[in-house]
Amino acid sequence: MRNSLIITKQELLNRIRSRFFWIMLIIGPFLVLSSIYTLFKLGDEGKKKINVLVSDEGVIFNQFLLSKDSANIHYDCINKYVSLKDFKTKSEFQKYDALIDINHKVLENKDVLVLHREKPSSQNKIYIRYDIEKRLEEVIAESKNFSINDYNSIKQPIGIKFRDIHHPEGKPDLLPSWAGFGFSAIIFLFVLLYGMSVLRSITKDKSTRIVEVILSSTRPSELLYGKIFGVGLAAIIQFFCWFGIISIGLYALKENWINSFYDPSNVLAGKSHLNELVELIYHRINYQVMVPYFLCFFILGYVFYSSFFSIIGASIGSESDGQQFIFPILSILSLSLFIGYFSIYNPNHILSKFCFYFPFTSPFVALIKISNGISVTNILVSLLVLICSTIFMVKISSRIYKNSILHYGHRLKIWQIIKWIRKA
Amino acid sequence: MSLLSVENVDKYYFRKIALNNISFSVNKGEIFGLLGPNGAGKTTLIRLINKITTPTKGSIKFNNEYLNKEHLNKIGYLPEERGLYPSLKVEEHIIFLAMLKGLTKNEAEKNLDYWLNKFEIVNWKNKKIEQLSKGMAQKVQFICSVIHNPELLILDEPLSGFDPININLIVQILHELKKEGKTIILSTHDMKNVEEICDRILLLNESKKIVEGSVNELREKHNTGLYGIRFKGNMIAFATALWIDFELIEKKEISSDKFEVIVKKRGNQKLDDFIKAMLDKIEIDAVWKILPGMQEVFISLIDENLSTENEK
Repeated sequence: MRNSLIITKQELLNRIRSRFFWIMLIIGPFLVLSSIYTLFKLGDEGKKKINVLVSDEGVIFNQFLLSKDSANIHYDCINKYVSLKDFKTKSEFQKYDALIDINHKVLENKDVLVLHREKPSSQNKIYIRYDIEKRLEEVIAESKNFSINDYNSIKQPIGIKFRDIHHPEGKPDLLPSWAGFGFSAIIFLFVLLYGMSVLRSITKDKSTRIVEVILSSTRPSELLYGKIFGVGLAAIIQFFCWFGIISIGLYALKENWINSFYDPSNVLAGKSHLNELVELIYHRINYQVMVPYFLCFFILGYVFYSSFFSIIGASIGSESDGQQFIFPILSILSLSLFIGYFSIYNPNHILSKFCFYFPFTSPFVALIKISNGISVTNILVSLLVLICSTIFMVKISSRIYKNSILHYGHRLKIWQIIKWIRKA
Repeated sequence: MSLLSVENVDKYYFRKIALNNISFSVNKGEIFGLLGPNGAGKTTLIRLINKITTPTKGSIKFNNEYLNKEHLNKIGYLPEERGLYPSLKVEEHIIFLAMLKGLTKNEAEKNLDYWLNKFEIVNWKNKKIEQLSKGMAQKVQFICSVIHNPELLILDEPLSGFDPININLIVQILHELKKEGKTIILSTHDMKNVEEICDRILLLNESKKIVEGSVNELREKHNTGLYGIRFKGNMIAFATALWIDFELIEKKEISSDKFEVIVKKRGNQKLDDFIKAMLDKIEIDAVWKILPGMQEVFISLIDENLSTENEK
């Protein structure tokens, strides 16, 4: 145990002193923040100037809906019902980009549907929402003989839903799944980078023959655990640094660009009015739940996969041999991430359910499931399976490591490895 | 008193035998040579003593206890193929390995200063390993093996890569360690070093023990009956006076009437009688026995072993 700690400390110091650690520390968060900002800007892409048809069957708006602040929106009101089919197909409506359906019970249900051909920009969405709300407030206040100020003091939120005319039923809410997938992608990145670090560290020890000196002082398993935990600790430190830098960066982005982009009155109107990405990052991720589970799956996933990387590192004759052996493990990792992506759209598919418990894939699928809400019992079962598999794999890898680390200059044969596994 | 005893040890790597029924013991305070041609099983044996691998059969005792993990802190090891972490500083590297041998950081720092001073390399303390020359790195590796003041020091080809001055320094340090009561196992192919340094040896060949014994006894045992004689007188008189049991092998003229010869004893005639008989003819300055070098002993033992194996 003492020796494992000494080796852990040494490995940690080696990683922290390496140029790679500091490059990743700076480049990683920079790339993440740049991507978020780019996606945020892309999320705002949409038609800038739009014509909107207001179908006011109940003559509630009384032909009166003006774009008060934006010159990009032009409204035309008609006092008759326009069906979705007519709006889609009839030539007279083709000049309109969106249809606002003011149902005749809008004063009671306070629901308004906006059907659009091409997704409007976030800014136009906000202005449309703002214009409808203002007009509805006026109509409601007028019908109840309230002043606008009195009405504002008792008003309830108005539900304005934007729908694509080709999917008027609306799309399932995938934002939480994407949040989970984001966490899975971070695990993938760290498992890959730091798993490779474990492999490189082992092959370096082997090629410089220092391993023989170390093994004369410590057990092979202690050396292996020290390496895995030392490198893992560096990964966790890097993750927390990333987390800190990205949090500060996101706060700065929100304060300096994102909020100022929107009309302040609308931003105050509610969180659901924001860009999807902004909404996802700032409002939809339950960090108190996600971060602890992320750390559990991150640590276990890293240790689980590192045991495979260590087997490869100890078994290969030279570092160049490693490339072909890494391929299967990279394939498994990539496939696991793909299954995570698959789970976003098929959460109830048998493959998604199986992969939630399967140790090779659970670190990449579990967080998607958790972000959508799943019982704690299921999560604990998945974690338990992963813990047991990790312990088993670490034991197996330390056995193979012990037997193969002193085989210099030649590649081990599969039957030799199988024999050691059977011995273990 | 034995510090290390190896009893009936076999070691198999899959179906290939690396050590076949090896037994020997190393006494406290002696320098023990581990000899054998390449592939004889020396490195395997050293790995067993260091618990890097375990024997398939048999046992190893250290201080009359079965070798266990605690004993490793009392053993120092310098492998033949040495490795260092190139990115670490000399001080960091040595302290790291010393701590793995059970020393606290303070103890390691204290011992490090002692050894750096001994090798007169205090200035290298903060140099990175990658900046060192091969000879410098060798010294660092040697320090790594002795930094924890081990009772048993196992050195695999410790002098390879050193220049003659440093070889002398290391040999001197080995003698000092012996005087302090440390036990040293020395694996080497350099038989001159074995003659100079080792008290006893174990010879391995093709995974089997060939012989174990003291260096002098082995040389005596393989004595070929050669004697050196330095005399003053007439060479022809000396040659004609040679008995049938003694053959002149080599002669060297030191001056016009001084010679040094090597004679080989063939029969049962005693050397004393031969000398007495010669005293009438020449004036003898010195007579000495010429023992075979360890090189000859080594080759002779390996050849004997090969012929025995072939006969079988």
